[in-house]
Amino acid sequence: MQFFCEKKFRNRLSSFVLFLVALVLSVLLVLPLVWMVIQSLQPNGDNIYQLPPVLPNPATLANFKTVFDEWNIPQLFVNTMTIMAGVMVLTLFSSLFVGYGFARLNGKGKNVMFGILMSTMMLPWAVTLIPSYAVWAKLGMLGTYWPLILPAIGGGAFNILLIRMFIMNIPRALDEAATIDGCSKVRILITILLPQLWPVIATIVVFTFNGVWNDYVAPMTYLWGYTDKYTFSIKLATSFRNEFQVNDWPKIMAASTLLSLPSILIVFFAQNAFTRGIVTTGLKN
Amino acid sequence: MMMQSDATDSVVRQEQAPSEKTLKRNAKMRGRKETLVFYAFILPFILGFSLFTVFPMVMSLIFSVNKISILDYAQGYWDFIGFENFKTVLFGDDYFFIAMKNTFIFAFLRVFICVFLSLLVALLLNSKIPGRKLFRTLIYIPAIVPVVGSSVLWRQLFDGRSSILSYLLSKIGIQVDATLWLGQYGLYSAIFMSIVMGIGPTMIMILAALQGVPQEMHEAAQIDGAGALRRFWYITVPFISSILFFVSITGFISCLQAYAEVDLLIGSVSNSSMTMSMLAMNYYRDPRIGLGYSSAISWLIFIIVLVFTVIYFSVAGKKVFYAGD
Repeated sequence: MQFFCEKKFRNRLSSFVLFLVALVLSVLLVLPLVWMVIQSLQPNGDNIYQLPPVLPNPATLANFKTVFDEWNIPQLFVNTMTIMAGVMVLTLFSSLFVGYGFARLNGKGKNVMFGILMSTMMLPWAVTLIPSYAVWAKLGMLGTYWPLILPAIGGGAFNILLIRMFIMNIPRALDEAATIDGCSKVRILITILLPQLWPVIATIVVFTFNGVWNDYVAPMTYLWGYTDKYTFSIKLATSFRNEFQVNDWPKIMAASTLLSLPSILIVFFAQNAFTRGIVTTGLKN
Repeated sequence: MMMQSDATDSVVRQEQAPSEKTLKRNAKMRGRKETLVFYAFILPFILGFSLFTVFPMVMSLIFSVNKISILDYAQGYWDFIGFENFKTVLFGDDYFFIAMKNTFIFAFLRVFICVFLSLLVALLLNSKIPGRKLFRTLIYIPAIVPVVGSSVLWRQLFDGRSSILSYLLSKIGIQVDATLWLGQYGLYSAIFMSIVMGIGPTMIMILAALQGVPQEMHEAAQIDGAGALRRFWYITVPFISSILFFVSITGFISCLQAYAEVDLLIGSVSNSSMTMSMLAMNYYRDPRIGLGYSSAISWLIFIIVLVFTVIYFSVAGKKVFYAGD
């Protein structure tokens, strides 16, 4: 009996220690972001250089207001969202149809196509980005959103694999019953499978949102110099590089906080969709 | 058609001979139709792949054997020079091998440290502690912050004028000259930031694999007297080896092309910390040699990544245990 108690006590203790370790670790990882928010509230730029660090006194939202007006954040938001809308529609459409094709249909060369699909996940981006830039430039389409939107027609290997895997887990009997009733394949996909796919659609929406919102390389390549077309992300990057003054730190931190906010919020609100996405990438077929 | 006289015979013959043929033909037609429908459904992928992957890659290959800039290309002016660009990169560019060294340092440290730490965190969150879900989200957050946002933030934390990191380190007795964070140690600062950003996703994938390790085996081994370490090594590790291999190989593929985070953090500060992709991206707008030269670099990156992947597969891939086998 005494042995039992001891063991229980030991388990409790080790569980408490592990809890503490996890707590310290999460705090350490999130601390830089807390620092970012604190610095965005500093009333003047010199405070940022004080060591030991000082808390904003008085805390002010003036930096947010300055950034909001000077950078015309609503415009940046509209720009980013224009790209987002196009990419989202194309990605969902393509990944749905292509994913269905790979999950339910057979054809000569299917395995080869699947191999190609998998290999696109490993292709270095520089090999395609640099010539794409040249071709779009020749077409006179730099500074437009087409180079950022149109490549989404491919659907993205990751999204296609997600849809494929999800459809493969839905019993075929449903499709077959519908086929006997004279349903076409497109109708089966839209009316029977799509309503069951919403969790995976949510995952794709979340990942596509973050992908477009966070993207730096592609907009920087195709929109560089066309300041009225900038996305939020590259506006921050270019202002930081070009116009940065030492006293601007609180302003930059405010902009950085604003930029990070949607991404962080979406993870909190769509936690399950998110985890599902990451876990599925790891499940190779 | 049918002959009256030999009715039975002909019926039999008719039913046998054509039916086999028709069946075959029908099957073939059905197969052909199925193939057609299949390709109709995956048409968007084929379109995207050929227009935005194959075509640019071919263009890139053509550019790389020409002395061509973005202006030359716009005017349709091509100057074929064979492998001259590749020669210049490999033998004439002081920075290419520095960049290659940096990239490999970046990739090895980033991948191995990140996978190791993620494994520890995943083991931690796989034990029965309260608030696991919240911890999981918190640890994930640095990964979700836009790369521009976190680079700007880390730029401030590493800032030479008042690095908070140097200050904190000096409190525990380690003196680091704050100007080195973004100077001489620039590459390592980038690795550090990248690890902080990378732990989340890697940890979640490993965690999912850990949850698939059969608990009965652990219990059986425990009854047989195997200690925690031995159980970890002989039961847990084999079961998660495939995911460890997966996260490390995908990590290598992306880190060997590291660009955005390194460029944003130290790009404008120090040239000696460049990665290969940064070198390629440095040149593509260059008005003289840009397009051809940077295409040559990007093909070299491609080849290096490919060779590395093949080697890694043959060395580490063999050690992976698949539960299905």
